[in-house]
Amino acid sequence: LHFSPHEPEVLAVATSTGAIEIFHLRIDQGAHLERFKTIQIFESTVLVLSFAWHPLPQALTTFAVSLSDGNLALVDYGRPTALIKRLEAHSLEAWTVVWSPESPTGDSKDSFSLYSGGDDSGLCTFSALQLPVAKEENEDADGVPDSEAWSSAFDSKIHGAGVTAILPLCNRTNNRMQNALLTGSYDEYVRILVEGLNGRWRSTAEMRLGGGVWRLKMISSGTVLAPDGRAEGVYHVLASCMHTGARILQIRVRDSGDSSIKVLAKFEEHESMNYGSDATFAREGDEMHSRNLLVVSTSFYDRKLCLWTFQVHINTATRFEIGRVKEAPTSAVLER
Amino acid sequence: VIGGARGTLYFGEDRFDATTFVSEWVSYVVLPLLSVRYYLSVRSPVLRNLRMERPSGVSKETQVSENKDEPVHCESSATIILDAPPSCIEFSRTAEDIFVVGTYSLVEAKDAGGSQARNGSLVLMRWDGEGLYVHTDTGAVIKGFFILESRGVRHLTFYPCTQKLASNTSNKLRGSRFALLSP
Repeated sequence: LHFSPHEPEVLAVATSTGAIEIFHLRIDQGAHLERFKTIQIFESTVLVLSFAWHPLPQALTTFAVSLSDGNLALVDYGRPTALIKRLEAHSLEAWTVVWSPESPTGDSKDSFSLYSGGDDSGLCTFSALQLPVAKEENEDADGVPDSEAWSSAFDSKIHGAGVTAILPLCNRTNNRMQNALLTGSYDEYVRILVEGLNGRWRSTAEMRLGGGVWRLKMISSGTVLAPDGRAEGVYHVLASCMHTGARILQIRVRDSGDSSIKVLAKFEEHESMNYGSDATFAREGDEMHSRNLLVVSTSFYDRKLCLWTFQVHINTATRFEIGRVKEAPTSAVLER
Repeated sequence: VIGGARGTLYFGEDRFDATTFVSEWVSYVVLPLLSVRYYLSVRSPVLRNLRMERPSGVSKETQVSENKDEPVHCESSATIILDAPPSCIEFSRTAEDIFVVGTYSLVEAKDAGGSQARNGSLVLMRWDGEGLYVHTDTGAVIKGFFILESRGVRHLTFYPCTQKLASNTSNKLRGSRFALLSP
C-alpha cells in the first residue's frame, strides 16, 4: 500500500485478486478510510505484487504494477480503460517495481525509467518510458498508441536469488545524474548498483543482512562533500529483512562510483517474517541537533506490530548541502 | 496476588488483615529496593558511564569508538498483536502520526477446488507518543497507554471501560486491555 506522492490523502492498495483499490484518508471527525474506487485490472487469479505511483504530478492517477505472472503494466485509473500498457519483464513472479525519481534528462519531459525485480533473479530496466501525452488526443477506439521508443534491459547475473526490493538512489552531482540503485534479494544481500557507461549495472558494494531483504524504504537522502572534495550521496534506508528483523542502513555513493553500506541499527524482537516497516520523523525534539525517528515494524505469522525509536543526530559541522534535495527530511546525517 | 497502586497486596478480591504486614514490607522495602536496583542497572546513565570505565584492558576512547561502529540494538517502546498477519505499512504524509497497516491471510479452501482464498484488511492507527489508537471500521477509537520506561513491563493504565468493546475490534495489547473512547 502506498499513499500518493501528489495527493497525500489518497491511498492505493495492491490486492491478491487482480485489483487495485483506492481509498481516501479522512482525518476530520475521527480518522477513517473511505473506499473510493476498485479497479479490477486483471483476472482475480493474478496477484498484484507491488505498484508504484508515477512520479510526475501531472500523472495523478497513473501507476506501474508488477504481477504474479511476471509482467508489468502501466495503469491509469482516470481513463475509461485503466490498463495502458503491458510490459513483459520476468519469467517468474515480478516481486517489485519502482520508477526512477527524476527524468533522466532532468527536464520536465515525462520520460522515466522503470525498474523491476523478479523471482527469476532478474533486474529489468525499462528506459525512457513515456506516458501517452494528453488524454484527449488518445481517447480513440484503439486505446493508447505505443508511440515512443523505449528500450529494456535484463540482468540476471548480479543477484543470487529473487530480486525483492529496489530503491533508486538519485544522485545529482555537478549537474550530472548518476543512476544508482539499492537492491534487496532473497539471497539476503543488499547491493549498491551503479550504472556504467555501457548502460549496464555493476555492483559496487554489497552486504549480507542475514534475512531475505523484502522491502527497502528511504528515510532520508542528501548530498555532502567528502573530505577529498568530491560529492557524495548519503542515504538512510529502512530494510525489512524477513526472519532477521528490521535494519537501519547508511548508504554512501561517491560520484566516482565508490560506495559503502553500514548497518546503523538492528531491531530483532520479531519472532516471524518482517515484511513491512515504515518510519517517520517525530515532530518534537531539538531539531537543530537531533531528531527522533519513529519506526513501526511488523512481523507476519506472530501478527506483531512494534514501535521503536532511533535517535538521529544531525552533524552540522561536517556536512553541507550541494545540489538539489528532493524531500523535506532529507538532510539528516544519522550518527549514534 | 495483585500489587495495588499504593503497594498494598490483594489476594483474590479480598485484602486480608494478616497480609497488611507483608504488603507494607513489600511496598516500603522490597519494591523501593527493586526500583533502585532497576534504575541503577538499566536507566542510570551515571552508572552506565561508570561501568564503561571499569578496568577491562580497553581504554574508554577505544570502547566508545568500537560502540560507534557497532549497530545499535533498538528496543520496542510498544507492541501490539494484530488480528491478521501484517504484510505492509505506510505512514501518512500529511498526518504523520497516522499509519495504515495492510494484512494478508491465506484461507485454505475446504471444498474440492483446492484453491486458496485470500483475505486482506486495512488497519488505521495513530501513535501520539504515549498511546496507540486503533481506528476501527465502525468509527470506534480504541486507545491503550504504554508505559515507556522499561522494556519488560508493558502493563498499562486505562480509562475505565464505559462501553462494551465492539466484537470486531479484538486487537489486543500484550498484557493489557483497551478502553473505548467513543462509540
